[in-house]
Amino acid sequence: MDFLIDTGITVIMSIAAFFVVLLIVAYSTWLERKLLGDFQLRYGPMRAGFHGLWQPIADGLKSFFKEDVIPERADKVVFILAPMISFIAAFGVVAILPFGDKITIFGREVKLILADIDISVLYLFALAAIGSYGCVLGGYASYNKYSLVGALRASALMISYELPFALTIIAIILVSGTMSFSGIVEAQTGMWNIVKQPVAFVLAIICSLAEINRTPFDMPETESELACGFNVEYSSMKFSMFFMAEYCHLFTISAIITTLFLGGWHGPFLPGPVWFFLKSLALMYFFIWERATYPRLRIDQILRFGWKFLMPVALANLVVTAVVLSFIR
Amino acid sequence: MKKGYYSIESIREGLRKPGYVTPLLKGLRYTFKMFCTKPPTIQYPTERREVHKRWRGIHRLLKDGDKFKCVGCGLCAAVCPPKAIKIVTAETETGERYPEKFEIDELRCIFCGYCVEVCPKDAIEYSQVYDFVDYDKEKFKLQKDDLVNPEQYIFQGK
Repeated sequence: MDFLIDTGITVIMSIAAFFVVLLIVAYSTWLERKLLGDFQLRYGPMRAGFHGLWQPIADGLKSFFKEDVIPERADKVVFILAPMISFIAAFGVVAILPFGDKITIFGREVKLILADIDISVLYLFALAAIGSYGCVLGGYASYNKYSLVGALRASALMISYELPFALTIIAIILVSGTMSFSGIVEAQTGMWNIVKQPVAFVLAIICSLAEINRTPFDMPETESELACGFNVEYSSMKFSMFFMAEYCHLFTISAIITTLFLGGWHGPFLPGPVWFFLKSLALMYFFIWERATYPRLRIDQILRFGWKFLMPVALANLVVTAVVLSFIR
Repeated sequence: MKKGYYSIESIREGLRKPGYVTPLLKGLRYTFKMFCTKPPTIQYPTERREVHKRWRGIHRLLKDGDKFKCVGCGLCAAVCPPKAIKIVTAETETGERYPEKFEIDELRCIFCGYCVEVCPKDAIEYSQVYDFVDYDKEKFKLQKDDLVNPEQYIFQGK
């Protein structure tokens, strides 16, 4: 009986989390369009509902009814598989996000985290690597020069920014002494990791921008050079799956940085999940803000920056953290 | 004295120069300033820009009571450079002349203002309607009864 109730709670929480995140993803497209509009002295969507509030739903319905084109010479299996890989990898990260502290339902304690695994960080990197397969395979399978170049750039970006990101997060693991996200959040009671690791925070923000292919590093897409890069040939639901994966990444990466650096659900007065979403929203705002500000870098500049600056700084940060910690403990 | 590479002066000079980080922050500050500014957008079909009171929009035929002020003299049709005005004059039993047919092709009209200027009875004027749209060319040939109320052609959206 206990087992049944536990399973039931987990299933309900999973479904609820999935739909909440789906809603957040839909409305983060709206948020991005509205905020970009504000940054560019215009309004963004205004017509569908109050200040365009129905816009994401209208867009979703529209893309549902669009014609689904598969190029004649495309690798059909991979072409269909690629958006699914992207989508699943993006939404899989939701499982390890600690939304809040323990709460009590039906007289038992439930952690507001779908899968409280000890290796959350490893899981995160595994899913990030799988997610970039979505880009690479999609670009390769489309049989299109632009998308192939986009895919190549995606893999180059992935290889060169995964490393500094991992090194940065290893420093956080050293400070917290655990790899599980709920453990990392608990270790931040009293003092957030951003105070202990300011350099790592900046590095993590830069690397995560590359990780989710956002503007200064949006190499796989590069509208102006590659005509949308890896997803040129995609249409209808397949395109919108890539699109949702992209915005899901935007949310999850904000949530992860919140967890790792900004103390997760910790905060005065308000309940934990509210703090968690507020902090994630602030980071999402920052990501949209910098998108409105910075132009895209060239691929060689990006790679040089990744290998010659981020990598040594992340290493140095890690070494310094390790040395200091070994003296303190 | 030649400045050494690591001299205090050269380091100070280097700090004064724009580095890599300050321009990035400046950019963020600038866009944030734009974020706090209200956009100058006018939400067109629901909000519209005020036009000048002498704006040359669609013509309006003025009425005096129920009768048209126009006496059908045909001066406007004669002066009209693109020949956009067609006018047929008739007479009542009491000898009053009135326009039986008065048609302005708004697509031919160049909005020069001669018809308004030449009219001896001040029977025609410009309204402030600037957004008359339709799918059919024939719909732009406005008859005298349409021209009484040009505001009906203001674009409402859809």
